[in-house]
Amino acid sequence: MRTLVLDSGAFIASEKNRRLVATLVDLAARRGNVVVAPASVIAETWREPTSYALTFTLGLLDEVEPLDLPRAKAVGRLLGYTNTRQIVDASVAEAASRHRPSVVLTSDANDIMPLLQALNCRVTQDESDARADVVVVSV
Amino acid sequence: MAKVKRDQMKPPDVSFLLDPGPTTTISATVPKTILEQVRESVGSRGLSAFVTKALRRELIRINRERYVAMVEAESGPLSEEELARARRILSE
Repeated sequence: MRTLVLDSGAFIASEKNRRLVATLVDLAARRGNVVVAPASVIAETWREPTSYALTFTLGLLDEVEPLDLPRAKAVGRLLGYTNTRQIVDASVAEAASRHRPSVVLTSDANDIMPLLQALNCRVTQDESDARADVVVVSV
Repeated sequence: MAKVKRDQMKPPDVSFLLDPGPTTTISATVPKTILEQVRESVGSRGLSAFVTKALRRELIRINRERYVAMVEAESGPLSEEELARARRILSE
């Protein structure tokens, strides 16, 4: 059962994207797919006073995954290995890899995919590739 | 287009996700047979954790229903085409 991992793009969603998030969440709820976001995504998107849509999106999650010491180390290793600096992207890739098979909803597909490949994930943007470890969907 | 009540348009209180805060003791009336089955599965000591998990899951389910209702109120019901795409994305 694929886990749905939300990146910042899924939180800062346009009206069109909100429909995609709503459809996936609706189906996930009926099928029992888990919906998560790393805490770093919340840090990147959360401001106070917060927006209506953002609060709604946060309420869809089964879990906000904390960046605890083991995960922080895994994210740091990934950043070092790929010689990149985006902690949020690396947190999302780490979560998607750990939950595989998974789906990532992101507006940074080009940044997330190499990170997933570095984690030895079979990653695709082909939405009908049922054999992929991680399906990356652009929002 | 789906009809949405005014209170359904209010964003949910998501503080339980960010920080569940202190615990409190409640009294609830539940069917005896259900309680017996739960106690048999998790034991008396696991009851609070079981109830918390069940309540949390139900809150999330309600939030998801409200989100879908909000989106449908904004821009029309989710189409079969959109649901087919979601099924394709989530299939493995």
